[in-house]
Amino acid sequence: MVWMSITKVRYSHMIGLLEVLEGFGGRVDVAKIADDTRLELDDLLPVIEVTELLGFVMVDSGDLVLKDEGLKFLSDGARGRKKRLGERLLMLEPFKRVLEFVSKREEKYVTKEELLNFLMETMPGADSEVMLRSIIDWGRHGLLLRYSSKEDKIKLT
Amino acid sequence: MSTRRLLTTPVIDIRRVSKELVHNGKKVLCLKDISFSVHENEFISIVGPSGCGKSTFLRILMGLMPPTSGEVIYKGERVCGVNPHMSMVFQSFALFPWLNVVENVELGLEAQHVPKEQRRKRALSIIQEVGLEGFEDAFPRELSGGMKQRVGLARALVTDPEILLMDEPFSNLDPLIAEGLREEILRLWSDKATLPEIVIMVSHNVEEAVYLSDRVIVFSQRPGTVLAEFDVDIVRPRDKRSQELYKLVDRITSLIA
Repeated sequence: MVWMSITKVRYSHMIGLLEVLEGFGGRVDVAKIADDTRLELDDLLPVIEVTELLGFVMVDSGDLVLKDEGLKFLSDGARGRKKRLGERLLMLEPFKRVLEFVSKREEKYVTKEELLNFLMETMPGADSEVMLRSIIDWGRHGLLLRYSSKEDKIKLT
Repeated sequence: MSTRRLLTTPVIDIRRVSKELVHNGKKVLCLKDISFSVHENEFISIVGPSGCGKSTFLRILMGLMPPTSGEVIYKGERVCGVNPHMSMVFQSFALFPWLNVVENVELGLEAQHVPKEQRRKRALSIIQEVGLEGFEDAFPRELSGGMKQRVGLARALVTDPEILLMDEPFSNLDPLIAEGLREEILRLWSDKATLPEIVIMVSHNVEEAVYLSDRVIVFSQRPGTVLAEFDVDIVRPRDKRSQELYKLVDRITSLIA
């Protein structure tokens, strides 16, 4: 499942990749990016995967290409970026399912344990703890979810 | 030297600052006769070999420690004690792990005796500006390095300082995250809304210093003294890979080596 890469990648990695790509004029050989950022291909590829999944870039004959959506994302202000990211995240299965799960609750929140169990049931074979942390992290970035560890509540925004 | 600088009064005037520190029971001269000035709307970097006293100098600039001799003049007056118009961002983030993001950011205002409601309002506003919206109730352990540094930045900016000091702000970040944050800082400084006009950064990365700055000041090996100052007269937005930039990076690097 390609969206598993999302658990290996943090938002700040994606921003870095997009900025580097823009610095190269929007199109560059993937190997050159690895070289330039001194990253191992093993570390770079998941970032590319996620950024592609979110619709900001595409890979074309070994080149990484900045898509229009990616350029718009970079030009967005802080709030605009979060809105745009939120919209793209909602197109992915894990986020769709999680948001649906939370919205079905009367009080519109779930505990960490409840969400963990939900993930274990609906996504067997995935490391649920890792998936949970990743969904909360990306969910916060996209202003889709709020999480208070003090109250143990994961809420919709 | 930039013409504009010749015509304006400096905001900060550093006059023959020297610093002696005690190291292993012995007195060591750490900084020697540092003199230069900082003007409005300047992004300045200080580069130099490891251990040359750059970070010590930044602390003297902010008033966290006094010089052994010489003085720091801020807007015509000698600096004594911590300068409330300056804020610092640290290499190690320096966040309190038991406080969440909004509480860490608010800390900057507590020292200024700002009333609680206003503190919260101001903190939330700056949190939004630096891209931390959604993370207000997150704890530092939940954040990536890049996000932790944004909190450090927000905390430094919440007091609306006139001068932002940054001590190796990107050194503790992985290269891809550092790239993204550099551009973010540049953007926030360029739009003149979030970051103050004057930024003084210490870095061991000459490329990053040249790319970001209007002027690069090169310190010598210990005792750190000013070896040279370079104006980066490259028009913004800059191409990180231009010949112009590479040439300047080369010149500076050969001075330090």
